[in-house]
Amino acid sequence: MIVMMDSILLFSFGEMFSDFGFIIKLFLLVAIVGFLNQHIENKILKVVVVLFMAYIMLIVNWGTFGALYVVYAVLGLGISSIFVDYFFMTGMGGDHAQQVMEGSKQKMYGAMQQMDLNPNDPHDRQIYLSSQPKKKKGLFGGLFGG
Amino acid sequence: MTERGLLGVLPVLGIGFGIILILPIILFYLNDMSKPLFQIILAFSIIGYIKQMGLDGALMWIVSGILIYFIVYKYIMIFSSLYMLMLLMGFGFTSAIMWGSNTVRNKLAGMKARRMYGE
Repeated sequence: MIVMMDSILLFSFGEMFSDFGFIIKLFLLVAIVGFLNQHIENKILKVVVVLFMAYIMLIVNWGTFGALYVVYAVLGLGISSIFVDYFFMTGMGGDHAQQVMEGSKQKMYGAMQQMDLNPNDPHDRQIYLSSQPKKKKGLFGGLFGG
Repeated sequence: MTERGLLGVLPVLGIGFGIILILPIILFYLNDMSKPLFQIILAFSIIGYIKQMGLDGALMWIVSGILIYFIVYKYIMIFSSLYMLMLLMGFGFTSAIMWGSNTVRNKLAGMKARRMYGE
């Protein structure tokens, strides 16, 4: 049963990937035709160049040009903005969530040392935490507007 | 050793984008008419793209027909999500998703810090 399920899954995934390859080939063909429509007026020359470029890109070097076309299409859709945002989020000024954690930890260590408590002792830590006043939580346990 | 937040950046972003990506599929299950509506929009987008690239006549209909069969009929679940992502990227909404998910992540880190260090 498991072997049968595996073969069904593998078959459908194989079919899906081959279909996606075919779809990308069609889109690349349309892109080639669109590019040459803008640059060549002569119809016969256009057909010859389309055939030549399609032969090179879709048949001879499909591995290279297929990957390059996927990168080109994805960049054209604006995926670079996601990368820019991601690197702003993690790079500039450090990780904010990490800073929050570090700041709270340092604050607790300082306060515990003032109270003559050992921050590394779990029992002392419990004493310190129970001495802290409870804050009123906002909506969803303080997640939104807390 | 530095303390980390409750969740890393990538899992939070994955959840944020994942929610956006499954929105069309949820919509299909909630409303029967949303699927044909999405299919019509996708079909016209494909025909518009092919026309914009300068193809016309029989070749345009053949290429459009093949693409419509695969994208609009066979793999509609995958391509509807991708189309939604493409639309959002076109409007620059991905920055808002990044900002929102990062804000939630920072709030979660604050909650964890309060629980662990009593701030």
